[in-house]
Amino acid sequence: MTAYEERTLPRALPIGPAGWRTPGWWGVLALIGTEAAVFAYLLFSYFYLQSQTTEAWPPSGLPPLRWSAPSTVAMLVSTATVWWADRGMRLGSLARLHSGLIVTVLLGICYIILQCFDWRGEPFLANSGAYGSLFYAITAFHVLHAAAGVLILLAALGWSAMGYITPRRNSVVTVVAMYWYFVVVAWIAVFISLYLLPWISTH
Amino acid sequence: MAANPTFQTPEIVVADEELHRKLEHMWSDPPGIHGWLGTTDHKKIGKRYLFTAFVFLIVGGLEALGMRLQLAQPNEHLLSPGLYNQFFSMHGFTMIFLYALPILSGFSNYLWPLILGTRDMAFPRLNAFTYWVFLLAGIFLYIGFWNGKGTDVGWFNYVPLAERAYNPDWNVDVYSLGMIFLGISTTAGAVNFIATMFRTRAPGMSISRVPIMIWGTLVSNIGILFAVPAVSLDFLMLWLDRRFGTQFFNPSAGGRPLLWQHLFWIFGHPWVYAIVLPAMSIVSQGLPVYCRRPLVAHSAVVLATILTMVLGFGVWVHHMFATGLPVIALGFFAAASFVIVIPSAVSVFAWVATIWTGRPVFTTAFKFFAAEIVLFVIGGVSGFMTAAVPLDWQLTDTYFVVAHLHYVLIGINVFPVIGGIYHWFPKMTGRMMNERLGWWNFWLMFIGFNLGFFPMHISGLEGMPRRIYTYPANLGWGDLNLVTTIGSFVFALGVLLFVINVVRSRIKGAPAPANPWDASTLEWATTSPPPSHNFTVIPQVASLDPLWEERLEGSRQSLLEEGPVLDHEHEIPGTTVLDAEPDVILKMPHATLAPISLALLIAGTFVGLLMSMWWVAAGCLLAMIPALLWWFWPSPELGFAERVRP
Amino acid sequence: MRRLVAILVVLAPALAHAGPMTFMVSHGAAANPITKLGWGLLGLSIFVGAFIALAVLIGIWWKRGAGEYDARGWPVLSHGRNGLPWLWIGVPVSIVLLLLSAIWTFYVLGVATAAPGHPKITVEVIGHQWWWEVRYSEFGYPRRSFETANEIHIPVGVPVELHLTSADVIHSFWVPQLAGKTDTIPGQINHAWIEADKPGIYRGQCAEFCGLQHAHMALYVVAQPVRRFKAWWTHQLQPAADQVTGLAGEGETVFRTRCAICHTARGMPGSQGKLGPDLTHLMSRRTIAAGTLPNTPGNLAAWVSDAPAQKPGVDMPAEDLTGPQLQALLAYLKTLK
Ligand code: HEA
Ligand code: HEA
Ligand code: HEC
Ligand code: CUA
Ligand SMILES: [Cu+2]
Repeated sequence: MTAYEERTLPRALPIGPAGWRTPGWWGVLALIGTEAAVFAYLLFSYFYLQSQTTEAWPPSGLPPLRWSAPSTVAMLVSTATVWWADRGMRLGSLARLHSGLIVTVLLGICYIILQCFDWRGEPFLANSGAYGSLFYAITAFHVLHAAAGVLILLAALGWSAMGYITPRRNSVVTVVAMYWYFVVVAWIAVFISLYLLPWISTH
Repeated sequence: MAANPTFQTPEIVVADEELHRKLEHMWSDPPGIHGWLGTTDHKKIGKRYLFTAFVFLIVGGLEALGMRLQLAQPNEHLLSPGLYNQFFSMHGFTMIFLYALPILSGFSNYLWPLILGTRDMAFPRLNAFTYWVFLLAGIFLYIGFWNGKGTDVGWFNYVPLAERAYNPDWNVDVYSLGMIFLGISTTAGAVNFIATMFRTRAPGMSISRVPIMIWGTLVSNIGILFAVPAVSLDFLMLWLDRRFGTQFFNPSAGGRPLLWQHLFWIFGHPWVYAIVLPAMSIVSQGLPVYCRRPLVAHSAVVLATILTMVLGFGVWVHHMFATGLPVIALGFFAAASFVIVIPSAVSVFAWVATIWTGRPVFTTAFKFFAAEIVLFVIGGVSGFMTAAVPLDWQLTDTYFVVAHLHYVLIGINVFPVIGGIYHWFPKMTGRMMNERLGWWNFWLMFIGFNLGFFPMHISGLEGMPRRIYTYPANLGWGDLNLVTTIGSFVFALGVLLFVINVVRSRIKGAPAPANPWDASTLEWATTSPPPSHNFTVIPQVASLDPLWEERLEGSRQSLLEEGPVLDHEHEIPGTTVLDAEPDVILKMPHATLAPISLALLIAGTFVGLLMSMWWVAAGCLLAMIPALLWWFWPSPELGFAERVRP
Repeated sequence: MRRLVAILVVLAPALAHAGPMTFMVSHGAAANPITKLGWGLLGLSIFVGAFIALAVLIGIWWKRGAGEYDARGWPVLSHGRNGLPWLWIGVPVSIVLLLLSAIWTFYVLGVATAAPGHPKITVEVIGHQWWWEVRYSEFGYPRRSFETANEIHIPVGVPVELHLTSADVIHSFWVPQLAGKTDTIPGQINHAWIEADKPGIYRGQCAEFCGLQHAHMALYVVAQPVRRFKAWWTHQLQPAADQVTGLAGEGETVFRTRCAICHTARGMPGSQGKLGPDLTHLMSRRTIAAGTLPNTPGNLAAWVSDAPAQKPGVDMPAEDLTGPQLQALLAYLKTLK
């Protein structure tokens, strides 16, 4: 037995990004950290301008919940479906993985469409004032994230359909799901700040 | 369906020549242009970073010398006011963004896997991508300058001056888009360092055995992750204001000019620590080697590094003391700026103690590191003075601040960097640098620097504002400025000597042994220069200073010659976060053109946005989707999938 | 470090001779406590810098030869002596020094921001690219207000409150010997105050980069005994002479057609331009173009005929006036006492 083996018995190690904290997991975690910071700074800007204004906030009246409330529901439900899919795969059910991912993608698209309706209904434009500029910047930035999320969900779906993803090599799905949770959490923060707080603070 | 092996039990062997040759062949890049453009070798990428950033230092330095000539005497007419304003703006952002961080990324890229005892970064392709984006963004940021109009509103680019109404040219558009572009590189780099640190350290390098150099870069990059978004967002909003008439900063439409400043400095202050913490850790790593003892209070210095970064996020308002904020806010941020002195004091005293209790060897690198301590303290205490709010009302925007920022930036970035090159040049090239030239190099730089920049404190106290292209004769600033100009040229001569030394030593320096300085960390355990696979067998680490164990502890516990063979394609061990227990074998990619292609697509997007050629931008953006799919394809070769495609 | 000390010694006279812009010398209640703080913290800083520099130097030379050497002549490795006392002493001492500095700083902050009793006078200062608009008004007497530019008169020993804002980009109002800087920011009014202990002319300069001619945006504060200040005020309230004849009369016509869209000469009908400084009492000012040129007939002629040549980028166009027109105009400007 060599000195090396005395200390650490060599054991069989999985090859490739197996297990939980794969490099990709750390990478996406870091990415999420930095994206979360962007949202934080956007909301900082929003609250900063609100704190500096002497006029009514929002200037054009309370934000409508007609579209944003159902889109929030879609987002919330999608966390459950993506969790269900991820979990299903761990338990070995590719069928659950596939159907879960498909439903999540549909909910994501649903959110994007609802948000487009919301934009159509707003009485201001991105260049009609600082509020409008920020409102569109924040919501558009979020919609872009949701769109990116949908695309990577689709990629994961495609790859698993091609047989690349198996319960033992599942890091792609884990990571994609993690990203989607982030998209939803970011939306909740946006929804509360932009849509709900004005209702609460005016009463 | 063909099966890909899912598990492997690595065989333990003693490194031999045959294995070395096999790995060397396996890890070296394919010949020709494909290998050159596609390389994912962290050592090549690191050297490219160092080279490119140094070129930017010289460009920014030449701009500075131009400014110095203009300011040498009152009422000079060498540069027109417009040109002067471009010079100081280009100088500022070139130095801060294109030199100061990238040069440190160069060191880190080159050294990390070597110090960590592994064969590559966690994401080699991302590493290549990061470099290409940096290079392209650097070129992008200069296109305005080559076309006669560089950005001219200073590196912090305050609105409304930077808005279209006051700056109709495209120069600020170039700067805004360029900064967002460059931010991609910085962020991607940070992601890579973080994953590397947490996943790919050599077995046994538990968290308490991680060398200080790694900590500095890691902490800096975690900071970057949270700081850079603020500035990218800021520049995006400005660009939207300029291009599409949004109103983020327009006070007559509900916007606020100060929003720009808040976001900029929320980024800006952490950033100045991001560009010095790795450099400080170069000193913490190099100084003890020449003092012939381990660093005093290693853990305290690590904690101080972390604390500096954390506190660094809470002091941004000290750049805005004169903007009329409420007194409460001023008091809070002044207090925070005082508190941040404490972790700096920890590092300073640890270095001094290392010198006192060690027995220094007078190499050129040592001189640069020791000089850094003194320059840091001079720069630090001037920062401490500006942190005192009422005093800052006098000091702000004068040459006193210019003196502060050069003492810290040159003192704790340029000096450690030059010292670091003297230290690691043998490792990187296999040749020693000339110590005699080094002596001249050091003293010219040290004397020139102090001669040039110390008087700036006094011109500041004499009331000379910064960013003025000329000044009248009757205010008593002429002589001080003449001295400053002379000093700057002496300093530049020192830099020139350094360039000469590097070129000369590269060609005919004495051959370097594996460990010329008798240093303690793993990069010195492999040959100089290292083979393309770094380590023939992956080392096992048992202490902070593996190469000093015999002499300090009596016997060597770390295993350097014997270890697991990982020789089926590019393999490295993946280890756990705290204990660095190996738990997987990671497969690393080969040279590929995906990174440079993606970088070019991004460049295309930004050029399209700049020229308002929306279809170019949109086309490049869409093309990125297949490019990304290609990149992230879970190929069985990388061990992503168990089964090879049917 | 010895080198630094040497430089310091050589350069010290530069500080001692105290140029007009130095703030290490001050002449007013708003600046005095800051100057003291400045000298105090500077002293502490020099002490800290010198201490560490000496520590490094001594550490390098002291006991360097003692101990064993290895084959190539380098000192052998060792754990070294215990270096921790440096931290145990150095860090707490630094903390104490910081604490003391912080207390002093907050004290001065309090003094400097406290409203100076009931200011008798409020002056509005508006930054422009690249000159200062100055508005005087007396509370409750709308007819006692007037406008001027680039030169602020204040009575000695009386705190003067300043309301600072900007018409375009951010500038910073700074008269070093009377007070620290306060930015002038569009869309926001900042408050500051100045007071002069003794009569004199204090130079000030814009301190925030504001574009091409940021270097040429100075101003003067003229502190006068109260009586002379009142006389000045009363004089400034007068409109421009309305009966000008002869050459000056011709000049008035030129002014009305060429200059009045940007400049005001109070009392002259149609002369209400706001883009440039108020010229009603131009001749009472010491400099023109925001402190760039002394107000001499030669400079004035040069300025009026081709302002951008004197101050490149300025918003005032080069007027191509004929010789006689220029002479007439200058004759008229001379009446603007
Ligand atoms: C590169 C890095 C860097 C570093 C490390 C620092 C370090 C510090 N900086 Fe500096 N700073 C800049 C880069 C940096 N700065 C730049 C680029 C600008 C200008 C930006 C621009 O406007 O263009 C700037 C501007 C700047 C300002 C704004 C000035 C103005 O525009 O009005 C202030 C104000 O508080 C400040 C404070 C500080 C403080 C308190 C520290 C502290 O971290 C320093 C702490 C260190 C020490 C004090 C020395 C060691 C300590 C001891 C030996 C203990 C004993 C000491 C005492 C008891 C005092 N800095
Ligand atoms: C790392 C950062 C860094 C570095 C290294 C420097 C280096 C220098 N800086 Fe600068 N500086 C800044 C960061 C930096 N600066 C910043 C952030 C600002 C604020 C900008 C703003 O206000 O927006 C600033 C502003 C600034 C000003 C104030 C301008 C103003 O307010 O009007 C001045 C004035 O003297 C100045 C001078 C110099 C000089 C003389 C050097 C010298 O060290 C340069 C030395 C010269 C070289 C390094 C070149 C050597 C090259 C050769 C000898 C040729 C060799 C050629 C070949 C081999 C081909 N700098
Ligand atoms: C387009 C606008 C414009 C016109 C027309 C114009 N000026 Fe000016 N003038 C300015 C501005 C702006 C300044 C301030 C320039 C500076 O100092 O940066 C100025 C400054 C001056 C000053 C110096 C005032 C001081 O106190 O510093 C004088 C005198 C002057 N103008 C006279 C004239 C005369 C006489 C004419 C006509 C022949 C004229 N101006 C036409 C815009 C104008
Ligand atoms: Cu106004 Cu600088
Ligand atoms: Cu700062």
